[in-house]
Amino acid sequence: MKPVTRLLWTLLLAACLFAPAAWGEESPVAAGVVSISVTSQAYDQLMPWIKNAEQSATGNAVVVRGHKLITTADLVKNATLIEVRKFGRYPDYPAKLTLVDYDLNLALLEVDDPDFWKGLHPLPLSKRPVQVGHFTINRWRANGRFEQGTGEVSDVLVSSSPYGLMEYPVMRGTTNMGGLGWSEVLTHDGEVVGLIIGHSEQRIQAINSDLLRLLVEASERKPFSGFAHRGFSWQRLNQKSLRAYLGLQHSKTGVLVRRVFTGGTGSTELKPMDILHRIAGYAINPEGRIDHPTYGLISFTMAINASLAPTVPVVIERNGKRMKLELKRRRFQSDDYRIPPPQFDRANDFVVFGGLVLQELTVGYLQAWGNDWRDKAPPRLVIEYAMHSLRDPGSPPERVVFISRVLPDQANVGYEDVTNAIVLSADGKPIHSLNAFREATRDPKGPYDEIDLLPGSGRGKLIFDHAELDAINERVRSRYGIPPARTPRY
Amino acid sequence: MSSRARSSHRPLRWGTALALVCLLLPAGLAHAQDTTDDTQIEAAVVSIEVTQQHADWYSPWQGTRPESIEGSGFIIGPGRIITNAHVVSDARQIIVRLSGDNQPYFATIEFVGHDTDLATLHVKDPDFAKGVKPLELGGIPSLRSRVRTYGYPAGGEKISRTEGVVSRVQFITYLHTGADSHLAVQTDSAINPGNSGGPVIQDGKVIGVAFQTVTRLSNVGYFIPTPVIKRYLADVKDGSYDGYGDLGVVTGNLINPAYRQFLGMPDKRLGVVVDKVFPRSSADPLIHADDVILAVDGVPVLSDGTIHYYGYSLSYQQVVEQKQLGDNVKVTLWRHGKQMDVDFPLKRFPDANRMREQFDERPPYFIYAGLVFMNLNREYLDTFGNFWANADKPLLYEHFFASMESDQPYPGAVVLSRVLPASLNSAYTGMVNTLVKSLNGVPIHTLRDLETGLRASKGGYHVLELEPGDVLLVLSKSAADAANPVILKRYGITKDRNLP
Repeated sequence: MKPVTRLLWTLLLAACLFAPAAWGEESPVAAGVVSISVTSQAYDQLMPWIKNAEQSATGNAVVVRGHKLITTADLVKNATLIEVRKFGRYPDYPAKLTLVDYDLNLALLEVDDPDFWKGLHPLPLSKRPVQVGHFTINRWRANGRFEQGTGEVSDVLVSSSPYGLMEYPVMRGTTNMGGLGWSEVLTHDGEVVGLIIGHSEQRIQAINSDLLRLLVEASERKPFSGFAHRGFSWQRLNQKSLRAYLGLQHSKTGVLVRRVFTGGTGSTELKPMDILHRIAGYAINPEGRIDHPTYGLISFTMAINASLAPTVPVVIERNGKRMKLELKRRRFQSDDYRIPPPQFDRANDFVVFGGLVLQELTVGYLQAWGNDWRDKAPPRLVIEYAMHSLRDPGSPPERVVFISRVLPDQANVGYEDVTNAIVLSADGKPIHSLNAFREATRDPKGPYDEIDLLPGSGRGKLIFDHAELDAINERVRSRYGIPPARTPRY
Repeated sequence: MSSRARSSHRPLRWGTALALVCLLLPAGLAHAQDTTDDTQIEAAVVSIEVTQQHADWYSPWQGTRPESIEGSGFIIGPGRIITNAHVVSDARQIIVRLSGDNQPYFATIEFVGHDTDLATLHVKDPDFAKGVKPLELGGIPSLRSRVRTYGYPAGGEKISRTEGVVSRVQFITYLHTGADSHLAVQTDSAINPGNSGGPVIQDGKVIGVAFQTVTRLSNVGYFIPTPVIKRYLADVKDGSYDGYGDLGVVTGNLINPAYRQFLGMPDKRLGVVVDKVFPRSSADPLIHADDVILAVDGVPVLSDGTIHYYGYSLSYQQVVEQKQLGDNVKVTLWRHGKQMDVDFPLKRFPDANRMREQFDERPPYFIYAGLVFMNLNREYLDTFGNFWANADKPLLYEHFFASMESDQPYPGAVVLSRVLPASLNSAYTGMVNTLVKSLNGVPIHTLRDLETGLRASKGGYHVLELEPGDVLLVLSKSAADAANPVILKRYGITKDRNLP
């Protein structure tokens, strides 16, 4: 072959492998991927009565059976309008959110207009999402162009979304395709293998088709039982002396249960110091991995969401005796959190009291400091999240109430520097929720309201004249444009 | 568990030390109003060349590479020199030179006050500075008055004189320890390395020692004023430097009218409210939370926490700052609607050292079976680089917040800082930078607790409980005892412990 010819062939091959290509609507994949336009408007985390300016975003969704679309929850959070477009062409069809799971970072959409579904075909969800090795990245762009690129699977790790604690396998891969970040659909041989949920330069993270299939199945069950959280902490048992101490010198399996939580899978069935040997039929090695037929060696915690069965079978060893248990698959309920995950689509509750803005601490508040919020958000609040985000077993439900800021007023002069301060008590009563604060300050024993703060907050106590509070609150609300309180007073 | 840079914290601290430089305006830019003979002053200003070797808090059994730095100082008596503590901390050799004279004189540290960033040196050679008139200490400069700074910036051999204006007098954090706040004077001079320890002169007398700057601001430098210097010199008169006492209370302003009414305060302007009294502090148990401090040693404390001091509005802490350890302090309180006086001797703030950068001492540590244990303190946290971002949050809570939020005396904390890998511990390398909560079920608060517990252990295993993660680290006692000397030898460690 002549050098020039060889060069042409090489260029052609490279173009096929890496360059985005435009496809017509006749492409079977193009008929299974649609573009989404989302207008969203989030509440301000620091001043929760304010709605920020609306924002626009576009992305992609995959058509699945039952006239449904799957996309990332990230794309549709705080949505005020969702519109979908097929084949990159007018018209746009309004879509409604029928199911959103921020823990999974997945959302299901439906479109009522039957015209929308004409010409579209559900894409099959692959049962071999990882073994394929290579994938095609598919997306519609705002200019109506359908683009495709290629990529390669690197590995699969158990991970969580930024919005929750649920664990599930996340496929990682590499690609030469640029401009990622539009909930692109990954396919192989016409089957969906994943949905991109994150990217960094030429690396992508994707939820694989196993989980998409489970989401579709779960959505068809009423009520939606969905996916489950792990309800216990565990440690590896990969040091000889540790295994010998626990009497496991002759065993090749097992990890150690250290704590059980108030909710989540295993929270009622397991006990600290149980040895967990098997889960869902898989042996757990001392490093906490199972040999999964799809994913290879992977953290055993993925087995909790490997099926929608109501229970997951485990083999444990307790006090030297092996036993089989069925762990009920449970999701964390609201009361299981001390510091709940981000809340979208609605405002956080708040109290304005003498110009103090009080809130219950959420991960969403901390995330207002950006992606590196763990370094940038107020240290004491981040520490509270890192150490006590879940409720301690046996303790009553509680939230962390804090003063997010002080709206300056003559009633709070001298208190202006108090920000991000955790409230311990009000009028002598411990405060573990905003409602408890409202109740505690309704009728103090004396003429003053006393608010005690966590030491180190800048000051220990704040005092207000109770008889003047209604007037103060009305003045502050009027001056700062705060809508009327949900309760008669605040 | 977060990972940690393998390098020592020293480069970082040294980076900080580089910022601890003093002030200098280009010579000749300004004309001093001072008519004192400059020659006499310059003759008393010395350059100081120091070879330092810092402790390595990542590998606490060894020191860092020696390095040389240069600073300034001034003569206050025969063979006696004042400079900054940060110039001579961790010194292995100190050489002093007079202005215009290349003759080196070897000096030793007479006293050092790291918390106040001052040190006094002694030159034994009787020929040193013969005929040089020692400098005298003056008073506090007034705002906007002009001052001269003398020293050897950038390690130059020629003395430099610059001029600036006093722009502020206030309490600031002294960066040398990073945990102590004292009075300082701000001026608008340019800043250059090497000036540290040099005198700031007004009317022919020393009114300060140049010592640090603010890197994010231009033309802002600080000097240590004479009340701090005089207190230091009075402290060392008894033959040792004892440091500062502290009331041991956290106070808040009492500006809010409702708060004042709540406390039944008759006066509109006086008093700060006590939010917390630290256990075992000077004020414990005589001052209580919710007391109001009206005056300290008869000096009225205003509701914003300030006093009037030589025409300046300063924190009321200045009254306490002038006292020595053991001196009595009288505090006038408002408690339950009545005025009362309490007096008590001043003590150090409990546990203050763990918050400070440490100097001139070898780090405490204990190594067993390749596990390196250290005290949780500021120096250990500095090994993370930016510890607020890189250290695990439970460590930060334990160090910065646990004692503040407790009514009990702080018992201390021990960390597993490193694992020197060997077959009996290689799976534990991921457990580093954790708090040691217990050994064989017994709570651990000090390295001595740990060493004693390991020695006294009767069973076949040592079981350590670590936080965060509530994980167990188990060692076979016989295997660990056998491996201990082998691991020490393999990693070149000659001493397995430095227990306080």
